[in-house]
Amino acid sequence: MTKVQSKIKIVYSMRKWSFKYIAWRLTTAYPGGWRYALRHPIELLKDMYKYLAWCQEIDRYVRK
Amino acid sequence: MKNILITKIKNTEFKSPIIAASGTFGYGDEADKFVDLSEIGCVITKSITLEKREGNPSSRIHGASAGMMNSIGLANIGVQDFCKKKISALNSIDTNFIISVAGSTFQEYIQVVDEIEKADGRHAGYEINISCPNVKEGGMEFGVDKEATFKLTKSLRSATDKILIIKLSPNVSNIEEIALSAESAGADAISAVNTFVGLGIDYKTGKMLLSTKFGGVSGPPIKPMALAKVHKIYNKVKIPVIGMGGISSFRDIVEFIRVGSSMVQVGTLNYRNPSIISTFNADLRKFLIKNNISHIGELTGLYSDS
Repeated sequence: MTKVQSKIKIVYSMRKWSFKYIAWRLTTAYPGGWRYALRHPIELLKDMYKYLAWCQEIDRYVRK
Repeated sequence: MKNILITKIKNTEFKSPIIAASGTFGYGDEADKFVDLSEIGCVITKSITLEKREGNPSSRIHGASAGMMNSIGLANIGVQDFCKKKISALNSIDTNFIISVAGSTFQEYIQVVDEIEKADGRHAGYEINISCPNVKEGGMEFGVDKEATFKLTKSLRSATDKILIIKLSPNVSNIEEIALSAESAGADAISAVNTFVGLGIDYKTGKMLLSTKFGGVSGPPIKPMALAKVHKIYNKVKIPVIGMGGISSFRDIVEFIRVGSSMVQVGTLNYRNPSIISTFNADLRKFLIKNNISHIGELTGLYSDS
């Protein structure tokens, strides 16, 4: 599986996450939560990319 | 075999020894629509303080060698809103919940517990966070001082009859002494350990990765250090130890139990997959059955020297 495919798979695995849960995740990442995320869309996109890369790293570790 | 994982602390039974760690599972009700909470032994809420806190400026979470480094800084809605908006929702979740409490002063910890005691919650108890490395005042300064730990635990003990768990910092030279202080002041259990203080820097730009420079490191890289701290505490105290630090499979859970944990907490991995505890629960059950172990408690402290 390529890195891109595995990132798509990770995003797909998040399809059941509720809005309430996503809102909480944003409050852990940013002061002000989703409001901050909306005001800083580029930072949000960069962080999402970093998060997916982190998930791949964790997955590689956990499979060992 | 139904009871193979049931664990007891004080008078409360937990369906499983696996707990969702504070700060990694929201307030406990955010995931109830897509995670089977009945598969989790207990959920510990995000730490609650007297006043609402926004936490530290961004950037405050960063990856760290298959682990994580954070300086969230106890962002939470404050005890008033927690009692108004969260307790009723938590009362209906399909597992036990424990409320994590943090503060900047002795009085603040006690006021938070007093406020929650007045609310109509079915929580099993409190986990007292005296070990957060990411706040300027309070937090860890109680957890590195055995006298302060004793005084705070004693005050909280007289404020509640529910389970009182003290969550310790690994950033001390003698964690057993702090655990003993908590035990002698009336704690019912010890949670060990919170995050290790760490720092991340970009080698190209020289920029610090976290806005606060220092943060708390968690996840798989800290497991060997966490196991050592748990084992040291287990050898000193008689109350149950709840082990945590880098659990990423059922095998890690068994290791924590063998070195002396009665229960364990899963933290960082919840950020990867909030349903991961259900998988660990099923794997742990299979492991026990396969190895003819009739109850998880039989493994607590069961190890042999090499």
